[in-house]
Amino acid sequence: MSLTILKSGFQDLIQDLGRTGYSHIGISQAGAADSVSLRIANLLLGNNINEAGIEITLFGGSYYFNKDAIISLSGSVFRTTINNKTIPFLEPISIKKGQTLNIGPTNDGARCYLVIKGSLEVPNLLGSRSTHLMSNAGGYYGRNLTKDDEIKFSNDNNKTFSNDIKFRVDKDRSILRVTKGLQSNLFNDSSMKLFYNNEFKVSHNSNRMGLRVTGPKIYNKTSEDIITEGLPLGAIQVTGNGDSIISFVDHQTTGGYPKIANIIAADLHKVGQLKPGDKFIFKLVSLEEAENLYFEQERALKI
Amino acid sequence: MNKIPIIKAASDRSIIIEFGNGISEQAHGHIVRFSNILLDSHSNDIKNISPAYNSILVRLEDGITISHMLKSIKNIFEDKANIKDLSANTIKIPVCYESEYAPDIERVMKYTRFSKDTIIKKHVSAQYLVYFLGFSPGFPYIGGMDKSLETPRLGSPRTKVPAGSVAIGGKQTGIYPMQSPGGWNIIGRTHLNLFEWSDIENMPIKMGCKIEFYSISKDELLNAENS
Repeated sequence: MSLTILKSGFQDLIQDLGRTGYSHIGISQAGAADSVSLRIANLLLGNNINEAGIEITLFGGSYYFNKDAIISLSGSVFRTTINNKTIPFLEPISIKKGQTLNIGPTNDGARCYLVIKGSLEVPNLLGSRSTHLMSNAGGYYGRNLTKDDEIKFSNDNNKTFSNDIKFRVDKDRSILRVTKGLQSNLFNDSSMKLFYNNEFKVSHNSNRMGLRVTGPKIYNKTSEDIITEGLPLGAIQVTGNGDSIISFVDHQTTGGYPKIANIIAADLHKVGQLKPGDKFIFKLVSLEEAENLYFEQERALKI
Repeated sequence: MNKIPIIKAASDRSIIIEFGNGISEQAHGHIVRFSNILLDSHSNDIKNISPAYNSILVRLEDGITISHMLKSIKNIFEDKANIKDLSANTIKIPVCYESEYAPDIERVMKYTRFSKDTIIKKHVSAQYLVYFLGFSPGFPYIGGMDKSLETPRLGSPRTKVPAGSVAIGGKQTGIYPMQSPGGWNIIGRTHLNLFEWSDIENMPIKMGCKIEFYSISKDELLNAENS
């Protein structure tokens, strides 16, 4: 049982919820850029929430099924068809042997997820099937899917579907909430005002390791780098040139730039949907509020 | 340890443990010890940890609260039973410094005003300490390089540095365990396999180990690569 890539999308990657436990030897966690959407796609099929799916960025390709399967699509809505018939997102879809799923472009956010009921037979590397592009590891030979790749899957899940997910995706990505960063005290009041009162724009030079955002130049008091330390997911690092970078799912485990703020966990899925050119502002919230929002999101994602 | 470190939230899903403000072997000793305790006994509460020069970042497992984790980390530091001596291994690393594998040694000669032989002699005569692994899989942050070898990083990084390259970047020396981009001055090559995805438990270079380099010829490097 397998599917074959007839034509690949801009960046098709095998991702699950990430490779945990190895950051101390320099191994990045990787995992779905919008983990909320991957979880929802799995929940809709009765899969384990950590099953790997295909993360499709900006536009998709053509995927030929040589066996009947039940699939679900989640995340940003991409124009998707089977035999020229539009396929809805966020519900189980039956696809027959010999049919091709065509995923086109989107007017929505950056990514969608294609998940198959059952599991993808991709090697498990240190507890995860996620691809980490910079180290050419995990997923499908550590790389993007390309034409003629064949991905085997098994239909070993007989569980029924769950349609009562309480979580509703907030598509407004114009505000990203943050908590104070570890070195926020290195920035003076006027730098802080520049950071919080101005719009930032996602640069084309962004990827799963980090999103470079253009906006006001932010300078710290000493303009020096810090002693290299562990990098939290969503940390906003400010370089010596005054540029801001949001560290993201494929980020290096450690970094030496001062961190002015950190995207709250409940908004990380929005970062995974940002496209080059998208504009937003950062909004400061307290740590308590951030933690409450995270636990609220977790509860809404439970069935 | 005599002083409890600073333990605080780094984000809404992570905690940082800070051991002083600078880089010291004493802080490093604590970091190795407490990293091992966290990895051995608290794996249910944490996704992963990133030890560094003077801190450990702890990323929380889903569903674990900051306050719960702050409490359990404080308990670890209050338990005197957790104070144990460390024994550090010394790893001897063969390096071929011949020009074919040392594209930037002339740049280092220019900056340091040393001859090639002096650079090699200074590079092999120091004893180095692996503070931690980070940046990319298996990449060691190594302290102890002779200050007179300091050479600024390349103006623009190479897109591909071969695996096994030994290099100088500013005040630091390092080894690239796998092919990756990099902006350090490459001065040699080792044939030792420093990172293997299928065998990460037995990587020769670990946090806390000591390193010594020794010089080998091109023939010795090629023979070792082929055996």
